[in-house]
Amino acid sequence: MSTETTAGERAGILLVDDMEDNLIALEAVLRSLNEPLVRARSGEEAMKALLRRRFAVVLLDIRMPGMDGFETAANIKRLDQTKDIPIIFLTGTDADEGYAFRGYATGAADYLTKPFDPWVLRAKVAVFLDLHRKNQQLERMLAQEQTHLAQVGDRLTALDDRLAADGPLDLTGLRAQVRDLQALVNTFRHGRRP
Amino acid sequence: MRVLEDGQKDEWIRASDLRPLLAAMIAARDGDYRKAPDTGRGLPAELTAVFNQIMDRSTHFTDEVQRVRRELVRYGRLDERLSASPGQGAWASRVDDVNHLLDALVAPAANATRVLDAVAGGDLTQRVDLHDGNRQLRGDLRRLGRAVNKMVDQLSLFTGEVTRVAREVGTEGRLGGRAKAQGLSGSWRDVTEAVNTMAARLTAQVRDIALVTTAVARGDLTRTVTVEATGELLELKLTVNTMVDQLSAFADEVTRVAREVGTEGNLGGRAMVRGVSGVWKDLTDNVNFMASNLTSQVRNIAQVTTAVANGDLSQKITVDAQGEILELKSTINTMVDQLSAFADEVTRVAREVGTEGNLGGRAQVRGVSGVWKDLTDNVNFMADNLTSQVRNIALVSTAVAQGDLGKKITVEAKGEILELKSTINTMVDQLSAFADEVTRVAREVGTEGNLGGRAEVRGVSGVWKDLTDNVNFMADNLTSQVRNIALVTTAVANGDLSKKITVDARGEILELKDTVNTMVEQLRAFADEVTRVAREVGTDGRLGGRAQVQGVSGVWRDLTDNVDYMADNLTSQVRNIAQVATAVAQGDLSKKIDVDARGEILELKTTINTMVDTLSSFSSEVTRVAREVGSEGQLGGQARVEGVYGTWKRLTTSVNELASNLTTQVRAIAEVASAVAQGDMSRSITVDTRGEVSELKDNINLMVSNLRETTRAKDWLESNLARLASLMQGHRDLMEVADLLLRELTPLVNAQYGAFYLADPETDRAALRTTPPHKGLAFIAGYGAAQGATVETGGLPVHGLVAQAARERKRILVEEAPPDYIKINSGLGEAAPTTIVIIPIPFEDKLLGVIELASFSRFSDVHLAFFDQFVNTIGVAINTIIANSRTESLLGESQRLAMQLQERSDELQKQQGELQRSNAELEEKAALLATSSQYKSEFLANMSHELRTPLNSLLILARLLSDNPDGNLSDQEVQFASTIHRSGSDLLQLINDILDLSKIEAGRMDVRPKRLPLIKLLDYVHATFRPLTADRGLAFEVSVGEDVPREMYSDEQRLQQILRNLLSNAIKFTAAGRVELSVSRIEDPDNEYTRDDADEVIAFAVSDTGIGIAPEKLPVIFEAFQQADGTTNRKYGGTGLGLSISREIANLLGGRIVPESVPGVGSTFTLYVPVVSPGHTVAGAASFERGNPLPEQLSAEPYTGHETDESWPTPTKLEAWKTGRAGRVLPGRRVLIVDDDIRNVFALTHVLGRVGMPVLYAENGREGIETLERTPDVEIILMDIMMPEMDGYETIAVIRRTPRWADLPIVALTAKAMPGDREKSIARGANDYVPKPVDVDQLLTVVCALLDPEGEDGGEPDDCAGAVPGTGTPEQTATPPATE
Repeated sequence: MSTETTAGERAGILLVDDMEDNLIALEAVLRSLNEPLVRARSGEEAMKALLRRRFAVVLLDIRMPGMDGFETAANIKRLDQTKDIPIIFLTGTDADEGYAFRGYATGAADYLTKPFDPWVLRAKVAVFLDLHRKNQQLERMLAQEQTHLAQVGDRLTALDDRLAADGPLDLTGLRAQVRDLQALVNTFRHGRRP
Repeated sequence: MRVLEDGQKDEWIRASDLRPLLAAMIAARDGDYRKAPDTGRGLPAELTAVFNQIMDRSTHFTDEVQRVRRELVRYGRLDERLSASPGQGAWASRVDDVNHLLDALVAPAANATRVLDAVAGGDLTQRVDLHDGNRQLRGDLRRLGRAVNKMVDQLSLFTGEVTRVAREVGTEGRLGGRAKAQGLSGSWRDVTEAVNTMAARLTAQVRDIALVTTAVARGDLTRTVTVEATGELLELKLTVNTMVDQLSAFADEVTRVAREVGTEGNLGGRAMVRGVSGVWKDLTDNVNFMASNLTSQVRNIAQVTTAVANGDLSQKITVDAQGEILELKSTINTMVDQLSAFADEVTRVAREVGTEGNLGGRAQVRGVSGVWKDLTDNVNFMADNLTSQVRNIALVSTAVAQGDLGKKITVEAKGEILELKSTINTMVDQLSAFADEVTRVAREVGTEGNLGGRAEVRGVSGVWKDLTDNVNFMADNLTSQVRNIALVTTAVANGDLSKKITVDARGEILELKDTVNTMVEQLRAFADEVTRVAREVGTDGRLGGRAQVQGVSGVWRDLTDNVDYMADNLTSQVRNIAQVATAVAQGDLSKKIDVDARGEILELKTTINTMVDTLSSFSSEVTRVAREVGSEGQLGGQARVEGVYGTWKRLTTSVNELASNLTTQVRAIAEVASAVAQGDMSRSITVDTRGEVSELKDNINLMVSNLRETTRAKDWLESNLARLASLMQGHRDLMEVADLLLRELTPLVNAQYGAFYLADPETDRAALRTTPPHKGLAFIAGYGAAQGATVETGGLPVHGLVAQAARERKRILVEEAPPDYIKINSGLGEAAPTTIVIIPIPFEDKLLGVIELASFSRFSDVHLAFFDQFVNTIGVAINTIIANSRTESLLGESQRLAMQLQERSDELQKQQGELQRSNAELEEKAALLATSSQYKSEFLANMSHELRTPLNSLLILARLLSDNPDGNLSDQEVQFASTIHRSGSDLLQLINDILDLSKIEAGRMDVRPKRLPLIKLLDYVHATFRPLTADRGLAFEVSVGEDVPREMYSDEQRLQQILRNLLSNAIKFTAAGRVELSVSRIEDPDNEYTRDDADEVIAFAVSDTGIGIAPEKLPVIFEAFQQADGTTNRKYGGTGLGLSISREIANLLGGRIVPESVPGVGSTFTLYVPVVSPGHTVAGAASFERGNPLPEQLSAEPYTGHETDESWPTPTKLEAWKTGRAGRVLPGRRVLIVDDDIRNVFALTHVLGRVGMPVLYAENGREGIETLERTPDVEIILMDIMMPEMDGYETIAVIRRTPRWADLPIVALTAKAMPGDREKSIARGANDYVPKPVDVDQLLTVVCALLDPEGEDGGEPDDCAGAVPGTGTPEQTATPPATE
């Protein structure tokens, strides 16, 4: 997904806000989720962080000097490898309804107005974490399936080669191969690795 | 047929009646137990019935047997028996028999089954009873029973044995047990044997392992488990062996370390046990730690003790230690301290006593005890003793040294000191005797000259005797040697240099002998040399000769040098004198004899020098005079030479005479010449001269007289020119000037008649150049009444001499004019002039006029010259006048015009000034307005963010705290946190309220009406306030009137805000009772409740049963920060802004709020709003009626959601880059982007990701290099040049210096598309260069070419370069745009 992620690395939560206090508050709220929390003090920092590791969800402040939340989100949503990361907009401004509309239009998953209820935020983030975990699980399973498929395909090719080969057929060898194949398929069927 | 039965004679039985019975019987005989049909009567019927009964019984039996068989065979039911037969007799006994048979067969089987069941259930005690009832079983049944019993016995035996073995081995641990196989056979024996084998093997294995572990436990680590094992035991074996190995290694290591550290003292050893873990590792680490601890402690102690041993008491043990080591450490440190103090003291004493000689010093060591104290005392005692002894010895030896041999050592001493004392005393005695004798011999030999004396010292021995003998021998030797030397020196003194010392001698005497001999030889050589030099210089006159005496020194050398010096001196004096004389002979008088000389030579030198001086002064005087008079021209100089006589004096006088003569003549000539030079031409030279000087005098006199004449004419000319020129200045009128000119000029040149013609000023200037003026020359002034004669000539003289002169610009002189040419008359008469001159007046190319003069006499040359020079002056003057007059007129005109302009512009300026003033005032006001309004809006905008943002984190954290998730806060602390949260919320509300109010006042509160279902609003109210009222125990009702419209067109947020405020207030001020919201429709024809003429009005009435408001307070509650009672907010809280805001919002919505209240009973606040929000009537209402869901205001929503800037670069043909050669080359190749501009990185990552290239990212050069080191599979780098910390050039250089990255392709990116960038990048090692903003096609082309250099030449139609038309080779595309 990202440029440099290892499979074992846990996907973190990216907190983007230009105010130190808000970051502290967010960390206080989200610490109990036991996921890595990564801070970014600006849109640029957020983009840099996004290139360096995977994130399950991004909490993005809208009002930031320089690159604001909308621009940051637009950049995130345009890049193939980051566009699927859900973004929750946080804003201290409730006066401008256009913000919410604009936020959702940018592709945000949610839009929260400060001051938000800590439990609500935690619950929302937890949903996305869960989603992310499931996604990863699916990805893993897909990868596994593909590996299996490739293995079966390799064996079949080998079998085919032997059948097509000139000379007397080694029936016992073939039978053994077919049996192996059968066993492989069986183990795959039960979802176990050989 | 007929059958006749007995007794039934008269009964006839028809055969046909019996036939069926017979058939049935035949069938029965054949096994078919069918019944016979019931036919007939009588006997046949009886027969049939009986037969049928037989058949029934047979059938029953058969059926029963079949049933039992089936039950028995198929279902195995052994307890099934035949049911009783319906018949009696044999029928019944037959059935019983069968049943008995069955019983007999089944009973043993059941018995065996029971036993087998018991065996199966593990009960081996049961046996088959071999008695059936009271008789024994026989035959097969008995065999069966016995077989079963035997099997059970064997099983029992086997089980017992196995159990025993298992119990012994397994539970009691008695290995080696064997199951007895006696009485077992077949498989049982095999199984038992197998069990025994297993037990034996287990035993062997366990014993082996036990052996090994016992050995290990006893510390023998050499054993390993060798027994064969498989499976888990093999693992155990391996584990045990590994353990033993590790233990062994560990023990070896520990032993080694212990031996090295403990026994051999090799500190610093460490146990290195590989592959251990867990406790062994810990143990190893502990041992190592102990070893290193011990090592460092011991080393430190060793260091300190070594230092102490080496006498360095400054070191202390500093290493951390505990326990005994700590005690040792402190002991050693204390010891070192004491030693140090002790050593210091002893050192001090030793130094004082030993080195500095301060005897009597005492060591003062405090706090020492035991041996140290004794030691100190001993040292002190020793010092005292030594002091007194040494002092005594010193005294005696001082006396001996001072020659006093009468003193003796008297101090008490022991041991060596005593020996020393007596030795010294003996020595003193012997010295005394020896000294006496030696003194005597020395006196005799040395002082009295009595050679041959001998010292006689009695009673001496050893060295003293030798000494005495030696003295005597010395005296003898000395005597003979001295005598020989005396002989030789006497010979030398007598001038005989042929003698030499021949006596044997050694040492110094030998040296003396050699010296004397050498001296004699040198003296001889010296004498020869001196003799030679004296002869050469003195007799032969060969100067410069030098005595060469080799190898002499001292006085001989001095002597030689002196002789040489003398010779040199003489030589140099004579040569100097010769030199000076030669110079004088050659005329050089500057030389003097400067050599030092004395005596006669000095006199000679003085004489010669005086001569040279005199000659010199004479010649210099003569030279001076000659130079002054001849070269410098200073006349009058006289040579003064003092002290010359004779020829020199006469010579001097002659020179002086010559000089004075010359002076007189030259001065006379000079006087006249200077007078001439000053303009005095009256002088002439009168001095007497002769010869050439006389000619010179005549010439000068002639020259002066000539000059005198010339100067007079010139003076006249110039003075008059100047005068006339000055006269003409300052005039503006031409006529006046011409008149003046003629009046002055005419008499000046002795003319009597004059006229001045002026060229017509109107004449075209161009014409003047070539042709005479058309209109000609105008007569403007005359002299001598010439007006009359020439007045007609005005405009006429295009011919004649005047015109000719004008045309040629040349003066025309007419001499000897005819008598009737013109007449000059006066009152007395008239005559014709003889000479007429016509003078044109030119200026540059123009002709300005002509002057004509007539005179009776001729004009002299001076006059003519005057004319020629004067016309120029006139020309300039006239031209100036003409130009001036023209300039003047132009100036006047322009001044007039300027004046008019000035007036206009003054007027304009005045108007403009007024305009500017008013403008400035306006601008000032506008700026003030703009500034204040800007300040206000900025303030509001900042308030909104800056005030709320900090509150945000405060609220969240306070909320978290008050939730107390970890449960570690006290109730009071939770209370505090809740208070913080509540107060923060209140503050936030206050800020929001203030902002709302400010917005309303600033007119910035927007109303955004839209279609609003009433039910939505009411749902909101319900959802918000139902829980609140429930909390406070209030009833809450919402009622809606029947005719209320279902939909409104208004601002939902604002309506919610008002209702929220009203309801909050109602709840807040109501302690008990109910709160009610009733919605109703109101006809408002008079616009009583709404601002505009709304058709439909909805009233939201909020009623409560609260404290109510006094009537006089009702008007003020809507003012900002007002509550009915000033003290209310203490009790009820709130900002007091809510109602103000609500009223303002209601106004904005086109409605109003009406309060009614009775104190103590309750209040009702009614909000009246129009159904359709005003100001939106036309568009909004129209669309509202049409049901258009999107009013205009909404459709004009500013954010479309797709307003993202399209600044990201995209390849023009992405598909082209995914296929073809690029599609083969690019995917999967890892790219490293090094760039600090994250937008650019995102953009490039996006594009590269699309073509399948994984991207790594580094923020700067340093990080880039780290990433490279971490990720070896990077295949290409895109490098930004302008980066902080470590720029691209530097980074590229660093990468290139690393050998394994030397060929890594690098593409430089830079925004500075300067002409030199590309070259610089490539010079630093980049492979190519792409300017920013990056053209993606170009970048991909470059990347593709770098990653697949061979493919480029392949000529494939779809190669990289070909994928994008218009891009050429990378070389071309890499050219920065700046150069294009």
